[in-house]
Amino acid sequence: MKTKTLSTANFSRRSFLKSLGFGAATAIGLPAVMQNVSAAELPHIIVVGGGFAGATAAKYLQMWGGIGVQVTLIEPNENYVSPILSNLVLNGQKTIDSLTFGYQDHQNRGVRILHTSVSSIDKNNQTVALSNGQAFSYDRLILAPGIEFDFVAGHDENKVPHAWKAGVQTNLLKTQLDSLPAGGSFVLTIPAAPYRCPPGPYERACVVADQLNNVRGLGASVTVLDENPNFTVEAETFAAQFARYGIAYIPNARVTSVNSEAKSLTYSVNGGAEQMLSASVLNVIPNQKAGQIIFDAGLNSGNWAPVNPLNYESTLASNIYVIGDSQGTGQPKAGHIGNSEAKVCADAVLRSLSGLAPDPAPKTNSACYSPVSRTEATWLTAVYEFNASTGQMQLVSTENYPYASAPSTRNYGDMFNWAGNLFDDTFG
Amino acid sequence: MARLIKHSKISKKSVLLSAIPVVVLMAGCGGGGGDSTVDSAPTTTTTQTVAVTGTVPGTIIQAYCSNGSNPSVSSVLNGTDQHPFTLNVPVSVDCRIAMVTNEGTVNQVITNLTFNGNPVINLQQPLDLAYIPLPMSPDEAVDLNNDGFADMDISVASDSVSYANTLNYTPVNGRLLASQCFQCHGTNGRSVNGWDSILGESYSEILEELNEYPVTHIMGAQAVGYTVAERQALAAYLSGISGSDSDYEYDERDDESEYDRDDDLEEDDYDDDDSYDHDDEDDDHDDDESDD
Repeated sequence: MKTKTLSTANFSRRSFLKSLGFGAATAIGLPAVMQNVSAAELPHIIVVGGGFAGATAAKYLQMWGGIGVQVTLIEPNENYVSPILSNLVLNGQKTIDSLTFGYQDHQNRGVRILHTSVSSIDKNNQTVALSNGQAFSYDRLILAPGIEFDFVAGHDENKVPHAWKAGVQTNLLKTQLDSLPAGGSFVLTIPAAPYRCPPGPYERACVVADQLNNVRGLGASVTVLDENPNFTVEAETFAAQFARYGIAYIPNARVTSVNSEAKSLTYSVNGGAEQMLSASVLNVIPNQKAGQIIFDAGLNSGNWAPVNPLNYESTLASNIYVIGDSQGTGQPKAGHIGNSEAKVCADAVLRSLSGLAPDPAPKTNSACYSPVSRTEATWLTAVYEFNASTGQMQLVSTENYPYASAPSTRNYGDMFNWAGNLFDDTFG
Repeated sequence: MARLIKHSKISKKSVLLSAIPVVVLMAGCGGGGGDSTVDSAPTTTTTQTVAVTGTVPGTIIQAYCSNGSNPSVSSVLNGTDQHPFTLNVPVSVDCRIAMVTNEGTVNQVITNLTFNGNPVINLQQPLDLAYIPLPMSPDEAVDLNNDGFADMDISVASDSVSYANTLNYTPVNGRLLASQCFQCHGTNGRSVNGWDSILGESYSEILEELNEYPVTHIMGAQAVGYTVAERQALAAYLSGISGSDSDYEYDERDDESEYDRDDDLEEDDYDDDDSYDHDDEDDDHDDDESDD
């Protein structure tokens, strides 16, 4: 399996670096272990996006493919900030630094890291163009770009944070919450499903309510506008927690506009007349869709990328695979299952490079621990299997997701063990 | 979790942070990881290993092998400038070897070794690298290609090294299924925190654990998703993994008081023991422990 001949196919790595304009002061960390491997002779797999799905794919491709593949991970940022556990930044239990991961272990494994972005994909010639105009050829391309937001009229995320991509946004929301006055109000909006991390918004409402009223004693009101008809997951658990905290819950509420200066919004319940709501702190989580690169490359059907769940190959383009939040299999969008999909994809890609069919019966799993206070957490989990008759992934059990019967301090501790191993399995 | 922070930028703060996880990660090898005693090695040894020995300045030596194992070892401080180490890597498996000097300081340097110009070593017999004069600070590092990693080339006897620049991927029965256990139990079943490692457990132990939890427990809720044949396949694969952490040796640099594993967790009330309490049938993890 040869990489297609391109002007860049026979580059020496040194000259390629020079052509990119990287000098000594901006060394991008290509591992020394790569220096004697001829990139043009190895099957080349490019992974775009270094979140839970992309980072896992790159790691397992190199781990399972060994020296027989060259893996390149293209991720604009030098570090990734985990949304998982990031609601605990809002109540001071975690810091952004403690949720930040780099790609050093990937480099040590032999993965080439490029901190740049892809400007376009040529599906026919199997090349990606980088934002600087250079091109890479690929034998297999795995896209893991995460989510993008649907714009809401008047919404300026620098004033009204979504905090649904962790880091600057999380800290902005924390800063605003820290200055929320006594008797103030917090309003959170929940997007229509599917969106990243189904329990996450409910978790956030609980954690913030606990912090504002039980820790700081502010007597603040907390209101949740949910575009969905009910809690999308763990309904009994979160309903009970909302009652415990006195959180006002308004389902079927679609946000129609935001006044980012005034921190107010208009919304409509079941398509009814618009109503206005103001808040001391407004947290609007917009509706979501696949990463922009999916649309740019014509790999979407509606808002998401259709794929064959046996290998995550796009049904619209050969040798391009989509994993993580952007994929449209109906499996949830979250870090744990992004990691899970990545392994199925990595195995299938390596098989295909050796002329083998994918595993005919892959399974994926999803799990999430959600804090609901500074000491308690709940969990849900699920296993998915391939249904050969429908060609889709389905829950092994026809029951709903199993989930904890009630939050507990035990779960709270387990949450850190779960997340710690998940972080290490992805970035370590 | 501070130990998992990994930054690639060379700032003082980020270097300090980036090195902590390397040390503590290994401190968590081999089982619980939450205590300060030396963990016993896994008992499963179906994969033979071969020793790579040598001496270095104070160093962590890690291998990244194509069978998924990640053996690592710290050199032994012996009062000299040349600290001996023995790293056991799997026989006839492609491995990369990286060394980290001055881990946890502003002078941390990562050196990936190459062997006769090759980045990969594949050993059928023991290999003595003798003394490796690793750079001890970024200023000492030779980095002709400006890639942020010190250049290093080690000459070894050619009959001990092989290298095939081809992909010959052979799916391993049970591996893909087993890899879906790693989100919670660590890569290759090696937990980096208070949860049980699967690594080192026997086939029957793994099967027993898959069978013993009710679906109201998160482990049971996962286990019901797998058929008997699937459980047997993944257990067979997991019980066959070795070479991942049997080589770790503690020394004073790994004192957990220096790198507090859970300094930001604030979970004083959390029982860090085995979360699954196999012997306690009355333990209901879902009981309401609410204190509000």
